[in-house]
Amino acid sequence: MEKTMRTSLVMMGMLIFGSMTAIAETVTISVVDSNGKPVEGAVVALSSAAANALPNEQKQAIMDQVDKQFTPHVLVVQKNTEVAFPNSDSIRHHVYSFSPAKSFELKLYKDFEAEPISFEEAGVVEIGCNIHDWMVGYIYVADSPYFAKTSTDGIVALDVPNDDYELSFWHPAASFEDNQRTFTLSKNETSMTITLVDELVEGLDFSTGFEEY
Amino acid sequence: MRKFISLAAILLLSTSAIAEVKGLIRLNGVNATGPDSYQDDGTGLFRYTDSDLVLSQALLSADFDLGADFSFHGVANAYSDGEQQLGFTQAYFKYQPLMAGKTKVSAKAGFFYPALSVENTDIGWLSSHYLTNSAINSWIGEELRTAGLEITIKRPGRQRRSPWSWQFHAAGFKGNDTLGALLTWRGFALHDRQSLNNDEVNFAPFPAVVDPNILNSPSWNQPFHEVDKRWGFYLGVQANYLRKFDVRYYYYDNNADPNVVNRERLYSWHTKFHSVAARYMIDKDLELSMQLMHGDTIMGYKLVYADYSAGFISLTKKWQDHKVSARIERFVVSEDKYDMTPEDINSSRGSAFTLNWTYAFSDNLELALEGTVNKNQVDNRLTIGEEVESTDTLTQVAATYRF
Repeated sequence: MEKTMRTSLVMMGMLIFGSMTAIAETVTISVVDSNGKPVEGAVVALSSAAANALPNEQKQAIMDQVDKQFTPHVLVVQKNTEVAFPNSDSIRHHVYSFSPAKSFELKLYKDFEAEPISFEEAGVVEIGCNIHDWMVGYIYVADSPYFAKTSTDGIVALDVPNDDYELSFWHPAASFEDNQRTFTLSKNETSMTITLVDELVEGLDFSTGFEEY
Repeated sequence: MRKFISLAAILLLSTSAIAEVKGLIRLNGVNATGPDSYQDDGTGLFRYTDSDLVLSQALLSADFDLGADFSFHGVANAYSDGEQQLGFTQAYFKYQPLMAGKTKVSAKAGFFYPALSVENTDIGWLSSHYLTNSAINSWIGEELRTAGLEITIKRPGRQRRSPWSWQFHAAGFKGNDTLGALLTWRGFALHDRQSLNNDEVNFAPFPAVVDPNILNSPSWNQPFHEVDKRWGFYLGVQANYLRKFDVRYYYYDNNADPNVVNRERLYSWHTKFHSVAARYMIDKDLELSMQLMHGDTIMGYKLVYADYSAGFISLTKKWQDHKVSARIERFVVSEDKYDMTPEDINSSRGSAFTLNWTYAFSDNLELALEGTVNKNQVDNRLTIGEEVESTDTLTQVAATYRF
C-alpha cells in the first residue's frame, strides 16, 4: 500500500516536472562586442503579448545615492514598478530626468525620504543630478518581467515559457545604433549570441576624483 | 500662542529639510619669527607675530534651498585676530535651473570668489591641504571678492559621453576698487585670514605712503570698497578631464579709474591679472597642483605702478588617515619703470616652502602640524630703518573640528 502511494507520488512529481519543462525553458543570451569580447552589464529583455500582460510582482525597487554616485548605475525594472530614491549621502542631491519614458525631478535632502516614483512606460530613463554634473544613472523600464543584466562573462540566462519573443539589448556604453537593435527569439530557440556593431565607449570613469567647490 | 508654536515648529522642520549647514572650528598654537606681522603694523608677511594661541578659523557654511531653481549660500566667520572679527566671507544667491540640453546655464549674484583657485576647495574656501594658503591665494582671500553677477555656461562631459567637461564664466562687479594696495605696499603675504565683508587690513606705516606730502594714504586697506562707481569684470574657462584633471584660466580686471580717491584717502587701484591653475590626481592618494599669476596695478596717474607674478607647485600624498603636503612657491612685485613716485618703493620678492602633516582622528577631528619658511626681500623696509631681507619661519600646530 505504502509502496503504491510512493510510486504514485513519484509519478505525480514526474508529471508536474514534465509539464513544467514543457512550458518553461532556459534561454541563454551571450553578448560580445565587435572584437568578440564579452560585454558585462548589458540589459537583455524579452517581450511578447503574453509576457507583457503579466502582472508586476516586483512592487518596489531602489535607486540610491552613495558617494555622489547613483547606485546601481543601471537599474532594470518592469513597467509599473515604484522606484524609491533614498539618499545615503550627507549632502543634498537634485535628481532629474528629461527622458521621454519618464520626466521628473526630486530634491533629495539629507535624512529626507522622498515619495517613490512609478515608472509606467517602457524605455530607458537617464537620470542626473543638477548639483553634481558627473552623476548619471539609468533606469531601464522593461515591458515584461523577463529581463536580466549580463554577468562578467557577458551571459544572461532567463527561465521563460517557450514562446516567440522580441529581444531588446541595451548598454550604457554601447553606441546609439547598437542600443536601438532588437532581435527575434523564436519558439524552441534556447540560445543566441548578440555581436555589437560598435565597440563600447570605454574610459569614462567619473566615479572618483575632484569635486567642484 | 499654540498656533505660533506649531508655526515655529513647522518652520523649523521645513528649514531643517531645506537647509544644509556645516561648520568648522580651528585652534592653532603658532610660533612666528621675523618682523612683526602686517596685522600688527609690521613688515612681516605672516598672519602672526611671535607665539600665540589663536582661533584661526571658526565658520558656518550654509546652503538654503529657495524653491525650484534658486538657492542661497553663505559663509559666516569669526577670528580672534584682525580689525573685524565677526562677519561673512561669502553670501550669494544661485540660480541653477534644470535644463534638458547638454549645455547648462547658471548664475550667481552677491558676494563671492571667482573660482580661480584649485587650492581653496575645502569648506568656506579654506585650503584643503594647508593651514597657510599660497601667496597667490592669501592675496585673493584678503583683497579680492566679487560683489556682482556671474554667469556660467557648462558642458558636462558625462552627459555627452566625453571625458572632457567645460565651463565658461563671465562676471561683472562693483566694489573691489582698492584691490592691489596691500600687494604693492606690503607685498605678497602667506596666511589663511580671508577678509570679512567690512574688514580692514593693516600694514606698516611706510613714510612715503602715509606722508601727507607724498601719497597721503592710510596704512590699512578696506579691500571691498566701491570708489569710482565703475564696473569691473572677469572671464574664466575651466576644463576637466574626467574628475582627475582640472585646469582653469581667469582674466580679471577691476576696471577701476585710478585717479579717483575717496574721503578716507583710499584710492581706486586699476588691477588686472591672468591666472592659470591646475590640479591632477595622479592616483587616488597622490595629488599635484599648481597656479601661476601675472598682472599689474596702477594707482593715481602712475603714482604707484607695479607688476606682479607668483606661482606655486604642491604635492599631497595620503595614506590611511595621514596626509603629507609640500608646497614651494615664488612671488615677485616689481615697480614698473613708469612709476612716478620714487620715494615710494614697491618692489618685493620672496620664495617659500611649506610642509604640512595632517592626521584625521575621525571625520570630525584633525590634527595638523605645519612649518613654513619664507625667505623674502621687501625693499621699502629700508624707508623705516629695517633690513630689506628677512628669512622668516612659522610653525603651527592646529586642531580642527568639523560639524
